[in-house]
Amino acid sequence: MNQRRVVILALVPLFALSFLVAACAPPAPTPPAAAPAAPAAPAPKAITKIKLVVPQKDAMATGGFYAIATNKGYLKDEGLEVEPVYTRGGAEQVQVVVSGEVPIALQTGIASVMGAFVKGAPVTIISSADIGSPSVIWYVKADSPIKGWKKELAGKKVGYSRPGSGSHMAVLDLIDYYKTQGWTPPPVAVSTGGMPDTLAATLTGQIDVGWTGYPVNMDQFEKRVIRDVFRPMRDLAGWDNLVVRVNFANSNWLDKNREVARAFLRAWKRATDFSYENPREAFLFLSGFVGTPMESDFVISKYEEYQPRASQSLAPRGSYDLAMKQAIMGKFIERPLTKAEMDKLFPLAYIPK
Amino acid sequence: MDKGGVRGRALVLPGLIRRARGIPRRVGGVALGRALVIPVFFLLLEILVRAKLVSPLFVAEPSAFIRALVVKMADGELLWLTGRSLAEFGIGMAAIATIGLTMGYLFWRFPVMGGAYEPLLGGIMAAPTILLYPVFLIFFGRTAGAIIALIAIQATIPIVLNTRHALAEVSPTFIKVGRSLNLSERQLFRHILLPAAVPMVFAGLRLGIIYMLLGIIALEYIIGIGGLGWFISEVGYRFDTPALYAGIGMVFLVSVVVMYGVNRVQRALK
Repeated sequence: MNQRRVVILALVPLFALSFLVAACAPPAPTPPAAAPAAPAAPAPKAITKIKLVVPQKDAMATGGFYAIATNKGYLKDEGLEVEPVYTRGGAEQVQVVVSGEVPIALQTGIASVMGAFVKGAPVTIISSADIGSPSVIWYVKADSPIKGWKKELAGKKVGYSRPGSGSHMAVLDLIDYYKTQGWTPPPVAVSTGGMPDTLAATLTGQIDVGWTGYPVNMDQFEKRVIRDVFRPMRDLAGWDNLVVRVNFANSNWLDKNREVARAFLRAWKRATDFSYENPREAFLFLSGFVGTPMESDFVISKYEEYQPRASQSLAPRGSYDLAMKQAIMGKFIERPLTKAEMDKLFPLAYIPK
Repeated sequence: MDKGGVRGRALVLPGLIRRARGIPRRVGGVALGRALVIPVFFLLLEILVRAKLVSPLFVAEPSAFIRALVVKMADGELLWLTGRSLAEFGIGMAAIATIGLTMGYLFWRFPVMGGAYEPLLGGIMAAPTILLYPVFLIFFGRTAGAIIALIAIQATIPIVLNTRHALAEVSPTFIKVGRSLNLSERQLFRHILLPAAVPMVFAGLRLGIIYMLLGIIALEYIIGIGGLGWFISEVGYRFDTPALYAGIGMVFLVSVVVMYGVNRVQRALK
């Protein structure tokens, strides 16, 4: 039997079956009588889709606030649909924004943004993101002979995420402190990438001192696998009002989307406020986002200690002198920026009241 | 009648001179093209970047990165980093050449072993073993040893496979000639098998070199330790585009020198 006949013979029962099913199907329900016309609902807000760089997504100030803003509908209220793009911090996300691939990046070390700006990259800081960096903690293994950060870190390998990040600036400041005190040799800065990579590197002895950002690895502190040895805001001078990390945007995109940037920051502020008013619910959102339970009583009890509300202010405080000094130490800039340059880089025009 | 005349002789003369000097016409053109391609490309790029048709944030003017290359070499930084990468490369190549040639010979000498392991090696060669770097960092620490050990796994395989095939595919006629001259097994290997296998063995060594060099630079970049790869990563993060291209240029120069050296060795062995 030739192939064509086989196909036809196979299709005929199929068509027959479909007619049979249609014939036996219940009649379509009659539509209800038309209700009286309701007043016209307001036209839904047009949705603007944007991408957002979310570094170290396990942290409350990045993945957490994003999860809150999405799940509580704050972004939708502002007419935004945000797609996250994940990085491991520092200048890695500056490259993504400068290339135009993603318009806004969160929690980026101010040194790397300054460095890109002076080289003519189209970057504009839209808000402060982390003042003082109280949530970043340097730790050692519980059985490490290192007990404190003064002198004992001489010659030791101290981790940070990526060049230009807030953690990088903290380590550079630590090294500078050692040099001014005459403690030699100074610690050795080692880029270890994300927090899970850094924990593995510390526990396996690749580096002596690892870093983490609250609330990641809090369970390790609670189980006494690791212990806190250095926190820049607690241990180094000048960090109280230091703008360590910023939220920034691609300037070319920003020129055409100023209101979108303002809308994003309004939603972000609402998410930030929600996290402090409802910490348990906030951590549940974070846990759902990262897929790991993070809402333990221990973690929640440490929220205000490791991430005080004032540190999450979108408006900067104090001067940028220390930030510029750190950027020069890291070779991101060769000289301090002038006031006019800082005003151009960080115009303060997008911060919600 | 003067066929061709003065003009005809003028057209013919350059060809005659080339032939007299033993330079074929084709070779002269190739050499000229080779000499001109890079300067012409650089000139074009210089114009495009200066005219801002290409963003200077991502592509440096050739004049800027050549200047950066010279400055970085003069202050010793780039030379030291290059030396470090070359040291890793040298140690790695010594290891993979020794292991690769030995294993290739054994796989040829004992065909059952070769038949059993060759498909597995082929699979490993195609796999992205570079992703195992976190495991190697645990075993070897954040040291050059981790980089060399990981890259050596993949770089050894083409040497093993090519060596085995090179020896297996030596023409039986050559072997018959050797046997008819009553050569011992050792003499047969030394004077017939080995010279016949050299081209294919070197093809395997070249592949091994490529894997080794690329892998070392890539892992230095990813892990953030070592020489040229680390340098490219650092200056890239600082948006120092001229230095970035200087680093890439240095990698290119190292590759050219290494491959030239391999070709010279191969010619000498022939």
